[in-house]
This record gives sequence, structure tokens and C-alpha cells, in this order.
Amino acid sequence: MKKIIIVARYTFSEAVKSKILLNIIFLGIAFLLSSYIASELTFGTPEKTSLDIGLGLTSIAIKIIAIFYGVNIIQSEIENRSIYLVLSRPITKVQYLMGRLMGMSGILFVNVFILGLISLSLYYFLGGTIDSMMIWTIFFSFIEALLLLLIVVTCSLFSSKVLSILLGISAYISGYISSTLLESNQFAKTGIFNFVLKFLNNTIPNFSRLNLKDFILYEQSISSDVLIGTLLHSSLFILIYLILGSILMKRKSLD
Amino acid sequence: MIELKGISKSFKKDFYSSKFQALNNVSFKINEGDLVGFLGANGAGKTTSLKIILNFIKPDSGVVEYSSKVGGSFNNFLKNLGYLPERPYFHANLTGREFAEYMAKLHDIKRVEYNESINKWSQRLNISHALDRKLQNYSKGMLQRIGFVSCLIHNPSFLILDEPVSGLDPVGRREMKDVMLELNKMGKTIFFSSHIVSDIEEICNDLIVLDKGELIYSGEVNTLLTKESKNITEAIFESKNAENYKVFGKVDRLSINNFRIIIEKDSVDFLRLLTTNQDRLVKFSELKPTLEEIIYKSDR
Repeated sequence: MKKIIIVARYTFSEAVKSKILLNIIFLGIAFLLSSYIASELTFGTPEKTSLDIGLGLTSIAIKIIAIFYGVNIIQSEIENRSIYLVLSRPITKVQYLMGRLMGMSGILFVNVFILGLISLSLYYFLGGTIDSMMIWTIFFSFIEALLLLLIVVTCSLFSSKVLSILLGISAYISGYISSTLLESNQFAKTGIFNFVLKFLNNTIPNFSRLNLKDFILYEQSISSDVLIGTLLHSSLFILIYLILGSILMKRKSLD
Repeated sequence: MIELKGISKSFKKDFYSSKFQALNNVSFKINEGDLVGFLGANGAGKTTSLKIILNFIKPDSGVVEYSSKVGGSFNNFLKNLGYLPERPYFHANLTGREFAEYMAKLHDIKRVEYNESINKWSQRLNISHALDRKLQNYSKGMLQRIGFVSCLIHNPSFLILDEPVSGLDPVGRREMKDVMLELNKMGKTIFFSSHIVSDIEEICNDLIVLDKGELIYSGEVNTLLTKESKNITEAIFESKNAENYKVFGKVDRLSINNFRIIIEKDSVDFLRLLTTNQDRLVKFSELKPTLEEIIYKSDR
């Protein structure tokens, strides 16, 4: 575990120094502008529009970071040969992978935390009332990005960077729509399509389930069953992708 | 210490291309305390061999054995190893000090030992002035130096250096070679890959030569030089009639009465004739081939 933490620490530190967190400043300004526009143009509930935009932008920003930084955390290290410097020390390939993932997760967490804080602050100053549901929504936004990071990193262990990005985006879209399509009567009974949907539904996390924004905007409450179910669902997929990534990394030839 | 037994490795450039044989049944041994040069042209299979020793890639056949002196197993070998890859690219946003500290932490060395080590080696390798600069601002030579510092930070007993002097200026090359000799005197085993023959001839006592994935030579440098030495002598002499000496070899005129001859057979008859003719011998020396000449001849 100590080795994983060392790699995570330097991965985090390197990413911070690469000015990746500068996006927070730009998005912070975008939040302020959008909230101002929302308060000027929206009739009735400007705070909700501001929260909607804030949480939406946070979610998009960390997904972009997860995909485009995620694809580089192992691939670029191999291309640049910097992985050789680390793996010629007493550390296993799997420990290294876990450290890189942990460091990158830290970056995602800091992003979500700061952007979420800005969104909630704006919502509060515009007259909204903060509750635990919003914290859960921000937390699952982080989990969503984490899952996307794991998918992209896992793909990058057996394919090229471009293909990994495409696979990551495809997995996200499939994960978002497969369960909805499966539930709709139109496709449920069609043989091959039904099989494909079921396969996607079982191998890719249901991203629409992790998006709790609609609950706070329209339903005002989330049942504990939904929260526990979503937590278990995401934990299971995190575990699956960690195991899959570890197996691939262990077998990966560093030529 | 380390022995490669019957290592073969082939690669496919892409899915449709045929396999390219990078190493073909290569066997050699690196003994404790040796400074071993690993020689071969670009693409000879040097880096592939090093990657197999370091378990970055698996061979198609053959094994690498690690003796008890380097830990007995690959995992223990890593604790005693310092490795500098060819043209390394480090984490550009870290400073030299942070990078060295990162590498040291992976070896679990104590803070006091780290401080002592970084001070010693950064000064010895003339990089102490740039330790707090970001690596992205380092020149190639500086990166090579900080890479070498990170290799030595945990006081390893075995060093694998892949083209450590390539891209360095003459002063840098000299310094790097001096440090290698110094480390070898301290008892460290060094396995040093290069395609520059003169560097290896200058500092190594043992030599391993690869060509197109095949082992050409493994053994002492001096043994190879002696084995390949032919009985060739060069003589410079003064004579008024050099025509008499043409039977011994090609005669070149250096000045009016000065001549140079290369004798490729027994030179006793030449010396006898020189005495009989009362001509003066200015220089008489054995011509030894350089390692470069021997290697290029082996390659052919």
C-alpha cells in the first residue's frame, strides 16, 4: 500500500503542476456568469437554474479530464519510457497502476469538490437551501467520472490512445442509454438487439443511474434504497474494472 | 550474477506483418564486479535483451537466472538494481530533486541516507545547481545526469545503463565514464550498453557483442584484442635505395631518404637486410587492431 500511495502522491503532484486545475478558475468564472444570466432571465427560480448549470458543467468538466488525462496515465508513460524508471524499482506493475489511478482520482475529487462548492455557494447566495441530496449528487458525479477514468485506462491497456478515447465515450453513451432502451417495449423482444443491450447493461455501468441531478431539480427527494442501490452498483463496477485493469497491466508487455 | 540462457524473442510490427527475430538463442553471463560493455549496432537487440533482464517483456524461449548475490530472484534483484534507460523522458513538471526523491522513496531508503546520497551524486555528476529546476527545463545532458543520480540514490550493487553517454558532449562523456570507473572500483557491477566501440574499449574489462539478434562474442576485451592481433609491424627507416625492401611489403616515401613499410609477415629478414645495408631504423612497432576494427570485421 505504501508504494501505491507514493506513486499516487507524485501522480497527483505532477498533474497539479501541469496546471490541470486551472480549469477550475475558468469554470468558476463560467458559473458566475451563467448564474448572473440565469438570475436576470429566469422567472421564479433562478437559483435552480444556476444549480442545474453548475452541476452540469462540473459533471462535463470532470468527465473530460477523466477521459483525456486517463488515456495518458499509462500509455504516455510507456511511450515516454518514464514507466521503465519506476518499474525497475521494487514495485509491481499492479501497484504502479493502482497508484496512478489513485493519484488521478485525487485530481478528479479536487475538481468535483471545488466546482461543487462553487455551484452550491452560488445556489445558496441566490436564495436556495442546501441539503444532503445535493452532496450525494456531487458525490455520484465524482463516481461517474471515476468509472469513466477506469474504463478509459482499462481500454488504454490493450488499445491505442485514440481508440481508448472512442471506447470510453461509447461506453459512456451505451451505459447511459442501454438500460432505458432495454426497459422500453419497442426493443425488449427483438433477439439480437436485446442480447446486445443486455450485454452492454451487464458490462458497462448504468451511468444514467448515477446522475441524480433530476432528483434535486424535480423530485426534491432521493430514497435511501436508490442511494444504496446506486452505491452498490457503482462499487461493483469499480471493483470489476480494477480487477480487469490489474490483470491486463500484469500481462502487459512494455516494449 | 546474471545469466541469460538461450533467449529468443520475436516481434510483430503490426497485425499483418511477419515476425521479426530480435534475439536468436542468446546466452551470456555477467559476473560480479565486472564492468561489462554491451555492444551492437542500432537494432542489434541490446535494448530488447535489457528489457528481458528487467522483465518488461517476456522472451519467447530461454530464461534469465539471478544469482543469490543479486537477491536470487527478480523481485530481490530490483532492490539491488540501478537502471538508466535509453533517452529517458522524466516527469516534466517535477523538479530534479522531487524526481530523485520519488525514485528514492520507492526503495524505502531513510531520509538521512537520501540526503547524503543526493548531495554526493548530484555534486559528483555536476547537476546540484539545477536540482530545484523543473525537468522540462533540463537539457539532454542534464536529464542524463539526473537519471544517473536517481540510479545511484539507493546505493545499488548492480547497474544497467542503456546508452548512458549518447547525446552528451565530450566533457559529459568523459565525466560519465569516469564515474562508471569509480563505481566499478567501489565494487559495483556495471552492464553498459553502447554502439560506440571506443567508449567500451576504454573502460570495460568484459564485452558482449550482438549483431542482428545473434551473440557474436562474450568474454574479456583483452582476450579478443590478443586473439585478433596479427603479426603486423610498421617500420620507418632511412635508406638511399628502398627498392631492396619491397619484397617485405608496400614501401611509402615519407621524405627524400625516409620510408615507411608495413610488414605482414616475420620481420626478422627485414631487420637483417637493414643491418646488412647499414640503413638506419627510425621507428619499429607492432600494429594492433583496435576493438572497432575487430568488431566491424566480425560484423562483416
